[in-house]
Amino acid sequence: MRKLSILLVFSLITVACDFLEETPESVINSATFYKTEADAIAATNAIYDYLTVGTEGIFDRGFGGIFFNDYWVFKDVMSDNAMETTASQEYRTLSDFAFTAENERIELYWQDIYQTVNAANVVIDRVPLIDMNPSRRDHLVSEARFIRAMMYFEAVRFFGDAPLILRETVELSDAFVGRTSASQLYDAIIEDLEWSRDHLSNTFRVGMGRATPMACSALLSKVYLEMGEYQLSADNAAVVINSNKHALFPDFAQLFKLDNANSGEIIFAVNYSGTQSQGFKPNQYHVRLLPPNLHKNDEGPENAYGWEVPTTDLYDSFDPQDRRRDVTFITSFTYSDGSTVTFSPHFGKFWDQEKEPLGNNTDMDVIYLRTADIMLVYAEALNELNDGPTPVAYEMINKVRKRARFNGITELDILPDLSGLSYEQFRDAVLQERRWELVMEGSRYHDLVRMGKLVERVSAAKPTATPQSFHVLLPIPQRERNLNSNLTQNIPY
Amino acid sequence: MKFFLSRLFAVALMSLLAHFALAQALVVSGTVTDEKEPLVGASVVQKGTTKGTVTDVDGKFTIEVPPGSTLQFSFIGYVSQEIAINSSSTLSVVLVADEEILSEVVVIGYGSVKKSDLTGSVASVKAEDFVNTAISSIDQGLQGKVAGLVVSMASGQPGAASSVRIRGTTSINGDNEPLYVIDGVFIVPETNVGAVTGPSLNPLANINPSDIESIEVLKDASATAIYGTRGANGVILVTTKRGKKGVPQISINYTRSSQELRRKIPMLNAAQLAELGNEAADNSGAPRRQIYASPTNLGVGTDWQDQIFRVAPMNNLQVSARGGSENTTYAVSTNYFTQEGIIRNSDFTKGNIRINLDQKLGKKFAMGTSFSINRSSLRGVVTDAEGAIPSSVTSWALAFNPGLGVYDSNGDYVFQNNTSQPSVGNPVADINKTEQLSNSTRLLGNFFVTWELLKDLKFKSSIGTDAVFVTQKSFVPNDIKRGEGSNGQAAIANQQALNWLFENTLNYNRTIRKHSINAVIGHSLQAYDNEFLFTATSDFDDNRLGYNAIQVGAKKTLVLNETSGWQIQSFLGRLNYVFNEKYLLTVSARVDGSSKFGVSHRYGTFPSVAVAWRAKEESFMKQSDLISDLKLRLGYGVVGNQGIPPYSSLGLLETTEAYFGENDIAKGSGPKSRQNNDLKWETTSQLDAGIDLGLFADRITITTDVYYKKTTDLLLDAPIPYTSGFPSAYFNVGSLENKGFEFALNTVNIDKAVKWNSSLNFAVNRNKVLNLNSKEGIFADPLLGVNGWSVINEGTPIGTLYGYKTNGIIQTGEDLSAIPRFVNYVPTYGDRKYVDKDNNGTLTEDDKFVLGNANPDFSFGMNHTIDYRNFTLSVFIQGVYGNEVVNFNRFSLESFDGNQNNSTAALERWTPENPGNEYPRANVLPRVNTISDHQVEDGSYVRLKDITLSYDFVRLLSFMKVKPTSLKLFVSAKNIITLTDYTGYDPEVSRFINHPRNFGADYGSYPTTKIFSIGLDILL
Repeated sequence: MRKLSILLVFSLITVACDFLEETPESVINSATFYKTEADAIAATNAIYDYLTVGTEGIFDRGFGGIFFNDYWVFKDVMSDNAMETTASQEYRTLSDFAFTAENERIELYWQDIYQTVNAANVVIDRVPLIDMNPSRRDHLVSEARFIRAMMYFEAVRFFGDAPLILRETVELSDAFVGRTSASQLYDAIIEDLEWSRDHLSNTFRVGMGRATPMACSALLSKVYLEMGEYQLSADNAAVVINSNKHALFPDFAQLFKLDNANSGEIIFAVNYSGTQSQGFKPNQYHVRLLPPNLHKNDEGPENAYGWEVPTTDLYDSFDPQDRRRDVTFITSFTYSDGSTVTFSPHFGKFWDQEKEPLGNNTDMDVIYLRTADIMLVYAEALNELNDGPTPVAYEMINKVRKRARFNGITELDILPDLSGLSYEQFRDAVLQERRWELVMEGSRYHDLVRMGKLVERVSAAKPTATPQSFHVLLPIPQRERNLNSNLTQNIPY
Repeated sequence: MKFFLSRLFAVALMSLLAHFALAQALVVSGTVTDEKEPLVGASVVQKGTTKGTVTDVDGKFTIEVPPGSTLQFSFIGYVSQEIAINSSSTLSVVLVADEEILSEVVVIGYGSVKKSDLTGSVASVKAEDFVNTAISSIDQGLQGKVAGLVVSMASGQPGAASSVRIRGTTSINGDNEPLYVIDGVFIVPETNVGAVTGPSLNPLANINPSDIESIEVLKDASATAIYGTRGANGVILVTTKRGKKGVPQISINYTRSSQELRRKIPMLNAAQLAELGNEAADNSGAPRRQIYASPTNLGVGTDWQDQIFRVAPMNNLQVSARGGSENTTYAVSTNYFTQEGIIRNSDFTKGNIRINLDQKLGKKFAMGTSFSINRSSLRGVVTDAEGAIPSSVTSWALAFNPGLGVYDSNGDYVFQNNTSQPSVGNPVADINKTEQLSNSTRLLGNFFVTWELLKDLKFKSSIGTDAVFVTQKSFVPNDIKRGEGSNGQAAIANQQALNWLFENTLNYNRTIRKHSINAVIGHSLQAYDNEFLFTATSDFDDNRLGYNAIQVGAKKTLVLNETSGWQIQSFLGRLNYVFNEKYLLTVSARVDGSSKFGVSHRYGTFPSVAVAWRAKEESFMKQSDLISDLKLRLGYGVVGNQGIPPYSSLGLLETTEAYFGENDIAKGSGPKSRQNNDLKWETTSQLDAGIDLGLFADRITITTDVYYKKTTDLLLDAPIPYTSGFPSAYFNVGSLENKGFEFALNTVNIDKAVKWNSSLNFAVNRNKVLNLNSKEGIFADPLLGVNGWSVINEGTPIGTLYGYKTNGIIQTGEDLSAIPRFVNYVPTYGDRKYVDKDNNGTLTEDDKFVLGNANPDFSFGMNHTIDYRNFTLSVFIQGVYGNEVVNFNRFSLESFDGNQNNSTAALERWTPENPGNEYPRANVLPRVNTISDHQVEDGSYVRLKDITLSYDFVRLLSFMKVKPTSLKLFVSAKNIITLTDYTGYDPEVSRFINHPRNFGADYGSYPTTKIFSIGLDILL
């Protein structure tokens, strides 16, 4: 009887075997995901969030996503185009070329690149295993590979040799890798872009901030130009120009009208929407660039700080009647009562005043590839290839100049067509034209580095800056080197 | 022969009985008392019979017995007495309290042992220590009572949670709070949902302090190993009072208290601020501000501290009844507590009902329940909210221009500060118009059945639950500064958390000659489910409905809900073995499986072993008159910490959102965390050696322990290379240690008409981080834009404070070029000088020194109780020594720029005419915002925590026919004397005590109070 009762007691103790299984209900466990077409689309969509702002939106530590601000701030602040006015040492030292490997903005740039790469790698690794429509499947992988190429193009231009990670991080050891040579990075970029170009669908998820074959060709032309592969650069640029799918807008001002988003000359833009995100995920164009203290009685830009301002050197370099000066800068503001305030030039080109009179939460996209850029790439490549400008090279640069002459009503008698230039003169002309055309569009630093003019031009424009020859590359963030001993540093940082 | 003797005995017995039966009955009457007062319901029984009676309310009895019989007098908790009766008489029986029963049994988790059989480090706090003190929760009552247990308050707001550390900080990212077990139910203290700004509700406030029978604090690993993965931070076992057989014992206690601010911070008046502002402008070549145009006309102005602080009442009513019959006992109680805060418009109310029942079911079975329902409600103001800019009303009251009134000339609230600090709103408008409410309903209870399988083998099955329902609401109207940016904002959060526990144990308790065994084995299942919903809106056109109709807000700011949970399955066992009452051995182990960990490490084993030697029982010590008790203890155990969020080992996806054009919201799922199958618990192994010593018949008792605690496999949310795609991940890396010494002394100083008992405890703990596996230290969160004020680094304690060393003030005529300077700041006369550690002329991160340690060198508590006739006086003194606090308030209180009000330190500012060497000159330009030894203050204090005088009136009521057992009136004062050099509101408040990386900061807190109380305590 006693034994029986003891047995009975033990039978009461219910040892539960699967009691400890974790089954989260309000978050998705990746182990149960990546099974359907919807999963594949969701995984692909995620990449764009890391590309733009990050899941935390405006609460993200570094305002995640390089296009949120750093992509277009870095490349003009680290040049003769723009100066920094914030008290933030992180940005100021970039502007003055006094940054170190501890610079937090550089660290965040690196973080954003690799976070986006990992999200792309997830798609590239996992989507091919999903049972779904093959052409749609290939298209999603193409979108991911295009963005991965964009990221590595940022990495290779800023850091030179850099970790090349082409698989999703599964084991942590996957992340503790050393630097891969720049040429291997370029090979990977080209492989991604060519694969994308050949596999993108023309019926599924077309454009609107997603890769297209034309965007692949356009980006290839820029990549090959950086590599010094001028023939391939010219060939790819020719594909874009000759297709005539993205003809120049007749008026430079049309580029920055919200109605023209994702259309016309714009080949690829990183899409943002202040409206759809209810203010949580706009980019920072208006906040950072528009002049402060204008907002009065519900007029003028709200929440604007004018953190990056043009150098005098940039402003003065324009022909006063150049349409691009008018569009690029804002120097006065008129209230509805007719009163006008004037101020030193600020970058105003991204502000569609009619659509967004109060600025702040903008719908403006960040233009990544547009035809004028590719025309100038084409011109530069042809000049390099032939040791001097060819007729097509002239045609390209002069089309850009012709558009700048148009003030919205008529073509002015300025910026005459170029002709009879030497190799050197034409090269300088392209650099000059790119400066006027692409202010705050993520170009200037790379142009100066590519043409070997960084130290010379920055010194001339910014007396306080101390650019040196080693500044053609950024330092590998110290945090990463502290954590990963396989990472070497760019000398002499 | 043997047979014959027993026959003879039987015959003799029978003849005796026959003789009694013939004898005449005797009438015996008298009183039964203890050393102080009559015992009500004491039993008086004729030995060997069932004939008997019980004493009445005066302790009186009358009984008839035959001559030569023996009367047995007994009462629970007292040593029984027998008196032979040979004639009718009146007896005065004094029963002596049974110390073995009253105080010598110690609850140790899944059982209890005699105190003399303890092998681990366990401290007990008894019910008496909670009586008559104006506390709202038990953690406040523990401060200073137990060596090695330190209570820190994050805020003085009524109802706010505090933080308890037992033997130091053992975890960097995991939980550091001890495990609370209330009547066997594990409490899950997570009730902050985040809809209100300020301190979270104290989960322990849900326990009525007067319900508590005892609290045991398990400190060393040999004691806590039975709690496995939750034992690393110590365990606090709370046992509530249960019913006793006998007539109902009713207790009524009412306390009325008054609270006030301990000290005001001396601030500039309006004229003084204006002079400062003008001087600051002049020194910087800036134009003087219009508002400071004529200082003398401004006069004293408004004292904003007086505007927000008040003297506030607190009431506590507690009623309980205990009693029962042979088979059923009960303890029921209720408690109603209201506390207004010393900041206007803040208060805390709670109510509590408890029912504890025990029922015997025949000879082998029994069942029982403990159940309580608790409701608390905290109405708060915005405090403890500082980030980059001050937003606590306490900070606002200090910053606000005394030259402004509360109302403008139209009778409306002045909107905002008119110095150069428009972000600061009118604190009076803010406390009156901002509404914040946290309501919590908690059901805590268990039901158990016991079954005596064999004489020594008992089975217990218990099911327990802790269910918490929290609602938080906040509303900021559109017409005050705080609501300006959002045009009014509201948030509501609801949380439902259910924790259930099912435990089955077998206890074996047997003594065979010299061998005594007390063993337990068991199985435990626990699950926790948590759901919350958070909604927020903004842009209100109409403030009237406030948080009761947040849909009035035009913008949907946030909708967020979450469901999460975790489970634990455990197997446990413990053996206490005592040989010859001299040699003691305890072996225990718990195997814990937790769902929070990676699939490769679901289960962990946490063993312990402890031995003790009761040297006093050896023959050579038995004769000693000096030494009445001596026990040496040694224990070692391994325990764990699983205090990380659920799902930390899984690869989770997060919901993403991107936009393709202006009409396509593209939701997605992106990688949020990396799957980590190897994630497991933190492991803390602890070695403890202790001595228990009693001298002079235990008039002096000493318990002292030394320990070494090493925590390995620290659960760090550690940075990982960004190339992984993630900034950080939970890892088991790193280690740290805590080592220390504890000493507790109890003495009976005088034991005559005057009784004077004292107790003293003293503890030293030293913490050190041994290994973080990374060169990157763990930085404190920036406060006021100040980075790196505390960093967790290898080789230093958690709570190490870093900053520059000041070096006086630059005096007129000094060589400015020789003064070390920060980048971008050119110093001049009257500016502060800093020590240039590396002598390179520039002040950089490399020039920072270790400025202090937020951990005290030692902590102590001292209690005296003096009884004389009907008076009892108790004095409780408590303190810490040697800790530093970063007084962040000083950054704003000593800005010397005229941008906000300053403390009177500004009157000692440097001027060419009055060149002091401590405070710099006035200057409107931003100065380098850096931490220095000037803001790091000594946080040591000694505090008269409580002094209580009580008088028992019951003897004055002897004329009454039915009078209470005791009727005490008492007066008490808390925190009335504090000796400290700390210049903030209070040294006891540490804002971010819950986050080890932010340990040791004070900024914008709700201050603690002085409390005066008067109360009545009736026992019927």
